[in-house]
Amino acid sequence: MTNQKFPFQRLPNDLCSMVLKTVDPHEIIAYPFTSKKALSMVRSLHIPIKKTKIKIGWPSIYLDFGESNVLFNWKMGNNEEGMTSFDDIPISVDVTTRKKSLTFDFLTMQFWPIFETTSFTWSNQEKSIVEWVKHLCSISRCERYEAEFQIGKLRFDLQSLQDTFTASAASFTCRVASGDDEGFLLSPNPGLRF
Amino acid sequence: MSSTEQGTSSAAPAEPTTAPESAAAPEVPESFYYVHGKDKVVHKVSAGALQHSALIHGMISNLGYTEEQAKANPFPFENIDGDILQMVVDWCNQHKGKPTPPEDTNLPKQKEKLFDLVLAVNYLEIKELLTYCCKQVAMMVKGKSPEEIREIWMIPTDAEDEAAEKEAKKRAGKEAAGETAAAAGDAK
Repeated sequence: MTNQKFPFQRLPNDLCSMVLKTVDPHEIIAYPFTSKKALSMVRSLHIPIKKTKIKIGWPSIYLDFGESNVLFNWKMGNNEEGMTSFDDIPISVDVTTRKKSLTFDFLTMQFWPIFETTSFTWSNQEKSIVEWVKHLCSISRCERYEAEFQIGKLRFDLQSLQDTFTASAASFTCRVASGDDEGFLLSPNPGLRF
Repeated sequence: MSSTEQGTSSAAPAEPTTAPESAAAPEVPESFYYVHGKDKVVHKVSAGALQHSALIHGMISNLGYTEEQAKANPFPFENIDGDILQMVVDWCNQHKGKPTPPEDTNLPKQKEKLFDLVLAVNYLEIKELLTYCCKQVAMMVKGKSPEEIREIWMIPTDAEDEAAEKEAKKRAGKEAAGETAAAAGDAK
């Protein structure tokens, strides 16, 4: 841990925005957890997210920023436990970032993509799964949302899930991976596709 | 618009230094300007180095100083500490007539001065150095968790933000009441 300190929020807002635009996606996601003011600043940047994909059961959320993506895996226990409800609080969160860049191969005279993967462990931020999803989805508007259920006998209310994502999503797709899907056809919203 | 045109013409004398093969061309003497910060220590800086600063470049273009006039009237930057201005001047001299590389290692490494440096560079409108400074600030939180970012960037909690906001409102109210009372006194 570094001893470096910097009074970031004492900078003028335009400079804060300049700095935030140069940080990596998982850092820009981490910053709004620090305060409401920080969340409001990141929202104002309108960071483009191409796709958000949430998995329910063994919960995770994947945010696709184009050239890089971030995967949050919520650890529900020490023995690979799944979630039992949206209100469950994870014990910790594994964060994996994947950054794409291009390298030039002089033998083939072509550009090839290379991927740099980094992993971190964050605390649960004292938030339940639903609070995490709400928080992450509130950072920026995403064009395409996908939800996948791996739930066995568990039941979730789709309407509340859609409300959790956003009512204004251009596309919201739900896919049931296994189990009893009867409970997932409750939502009357025409914006939902199954 | 006119200041841009003048700025372009004043950049012309710097060209022979970037093209040494045209040594046959007569060398134009470089003009110098003078700046000082809060500590009143005067720094002599070439026009070529000062071109990094859009603010100073604009001032030079608009004022049309001769070297004598410039010496007699250093540009005052009372809001910038002397050591910070020295850093900025050094950087401008090191990068005179050169584009800034993506990773600039010539910037002083004292992170405790970074905040003042960012503000000074922003005020002086030195775009390339500002970009580099912002990258430095961003690098401080590279790979950090929310808790670490809060500590490094000294982010106040929501409760602290609310208390500061209340305090600011209270102060603004008092100031407004003071101004109203003063205006009423003047009217009498």
